[in-house]
Amino acid sequence: MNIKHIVLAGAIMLGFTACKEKLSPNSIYDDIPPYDETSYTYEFDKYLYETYVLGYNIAFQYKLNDVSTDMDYNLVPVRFDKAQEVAHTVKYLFLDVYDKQMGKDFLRQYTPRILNIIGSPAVNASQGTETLGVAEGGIKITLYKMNEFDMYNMAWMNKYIFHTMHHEFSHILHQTKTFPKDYERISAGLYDSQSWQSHTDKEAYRLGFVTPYSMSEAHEDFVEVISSYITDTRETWKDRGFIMAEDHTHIEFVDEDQEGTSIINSKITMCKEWLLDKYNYQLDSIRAEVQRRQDALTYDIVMNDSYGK
Amino acid sequence: MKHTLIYMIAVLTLLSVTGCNRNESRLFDQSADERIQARAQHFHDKLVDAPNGWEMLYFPYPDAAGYAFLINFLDNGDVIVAAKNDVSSDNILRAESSCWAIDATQSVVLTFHTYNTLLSIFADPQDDGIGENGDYEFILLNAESNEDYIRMKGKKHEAYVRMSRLAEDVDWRQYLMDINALYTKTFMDNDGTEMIYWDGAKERTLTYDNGRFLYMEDKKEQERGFILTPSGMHFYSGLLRADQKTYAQDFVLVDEEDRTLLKTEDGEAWIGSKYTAADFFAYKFTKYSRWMYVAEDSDADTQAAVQAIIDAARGNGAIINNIGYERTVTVQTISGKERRTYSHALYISYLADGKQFGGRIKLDQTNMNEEITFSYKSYEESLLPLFARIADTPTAAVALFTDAFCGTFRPESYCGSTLNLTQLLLKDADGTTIHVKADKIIM
Repeated sequence: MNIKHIVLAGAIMLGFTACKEKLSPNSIYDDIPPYDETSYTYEFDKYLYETYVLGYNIAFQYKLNDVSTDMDYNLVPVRFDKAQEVAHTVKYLFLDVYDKQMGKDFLRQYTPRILNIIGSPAVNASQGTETLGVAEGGIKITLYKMNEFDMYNMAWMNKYIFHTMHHEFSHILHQTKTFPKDYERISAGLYDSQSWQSHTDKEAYRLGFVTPYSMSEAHEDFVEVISSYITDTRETWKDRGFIMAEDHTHIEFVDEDQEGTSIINSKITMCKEWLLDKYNYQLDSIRAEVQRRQDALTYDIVMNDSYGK
Repeated sequence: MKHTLIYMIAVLTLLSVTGCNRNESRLFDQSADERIQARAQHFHDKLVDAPNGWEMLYFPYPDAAGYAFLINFLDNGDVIVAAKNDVSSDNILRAESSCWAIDATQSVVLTFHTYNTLLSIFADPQDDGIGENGDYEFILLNAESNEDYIRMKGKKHEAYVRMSRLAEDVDWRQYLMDINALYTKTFMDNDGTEMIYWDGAKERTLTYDNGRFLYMEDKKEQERGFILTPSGMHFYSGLLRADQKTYAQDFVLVDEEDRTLLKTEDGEAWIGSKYTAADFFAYKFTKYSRWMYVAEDSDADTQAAVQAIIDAARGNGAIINNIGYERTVTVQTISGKERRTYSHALYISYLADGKQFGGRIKLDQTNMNEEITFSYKSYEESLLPLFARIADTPTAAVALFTDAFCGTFRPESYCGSTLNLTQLLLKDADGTTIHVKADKIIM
């Protein structure tokens, strides 16, 4: 920027900031209720208001506002039918799980306040990469590609929704109470914040990480272990070369390196102990409940909220 | 240094204007927030106050092929969108509800913020992150100046969008069907066809390409997307006029005595076909073309004659797939000079004994005064298995085809205008009408 631009930019900024007008505190939309009885979205909006807002203090946003997303991406809203399926499935496989195991207050206190779902993928065209989801400071989770939501594809749902949600939820938990320092020592020296992307899944497992992203740093490692432990089926663990024990309490390595297995198991154990100690949160119970619900999932059960009824 | 000093003075001047002085009178009656909210409210009310909705001329990005939508904004936040196009409605007339809102966070923006198949697909990034490169949010540019008109700009891709209030007596279904009729008369299946643009002083060549024209301007190939509405053709940027300054943007369809033109309102610029029907049929292909016989809208005698051939073949285990006129050009270079040999034929493809066959009844063709004459020349042996199934002798079999397809014909556009010659009616003096459709044209 040459001096001309600097000076003019400064002048413009002063022009904007010198006079702070007192903005009207009243929006013209303040009198609009959270849902409109005459709208074709009424039933769903009512459901969201009663279930998400009143129930869990969560704003489930399916109406896309570009300002609230990454402006670098070309995006479109989620299809209305998909939005409904996602809302009910998140309740079934996330909210109801914690609700049952930990109680409503736990969710109201710790879950992100905004769940923003987008229809299209977030593709960085110049780099050829795709962002699966974004979490902003424990306040908001944005999930992309929801127009491809498939309730009967558990691996897809875990990849694009639930892994991210448990991951971010766990971040909030460890940021709220003292992070276990001993955890940072388990894989000290192996974290690679600059080039974790260059590691393959196999390399990560061998070094005692559940995903390559776990290698970025200890806090990410911590929440990746928790989210993978909760969401991944025995088949998913098997695809990684591990066997989940019959009682679901630990994993056993079947392919190669015993060292990686024992490291991951020690991480799982530490996560369990810390969650139990700090929140009376039983990770095994959460995983068992999630797995039971994954096995029982049908469209009718999810959309009619009829699990166990 | 001199310039720097000037800039510093400019800054000080600006500061003196913008500095806080509570004693100064306000420039506006309302605060900035109140003004933007009032503008949003005005825009909201204007959109809702259209009982029969709006016509939206939507270009995904500047000079892309565009599309017309009919949109009704309801006060409860619902919006009804109707369209018929090949991108978002599979060319079926469809209407779909979704939601709309005015967002006044930054500027006043109209947002279609829930998914609407008809509209959202243009903004969908697909797998490549780009897709059709369109927008679903539009910055309002003029809510106040004209009560029946709104101009907006796509928030990301910055294409201008025009909306006009629909008269209350406009029937939505008829509106979209009228566009379809205009499309059929002009551009349906017409990709790659060259047309003429008369700019008022000289002729230019346009090549039609899926909702756009390609043409040379300033020695560069330019793309000019347009939209068809019942009132005619509307360009995004338009085509340069003879004055080299202004652009012809809106054209209406005019049926003249012997041709159809798309003309500007002042009549000075127009778009027309480069060919007559006979030229298009007979001469203007440089390499290879085939015109397939279509029973529908061929005359009854021709239909009966062809059906008799098809039935005879089927009765003896052969299925005729296609019959069409074919023209092939063979290019030879002799002593550095290119020599072209044209041959004409009736091409017949058929299935017999589990195998696919194709063969030609070769024809002589002459062209004179917009008339084409086909006469029998010879046949290929690959047709013999078929001939044996439909007649006692090859000569008798050939006669069945030549009786139906040879003669002297005057081609006419099937689509109703000389702008679209991709389907033709070959008519003779005795009332024979053969409907043919261009199947494979390599220009």
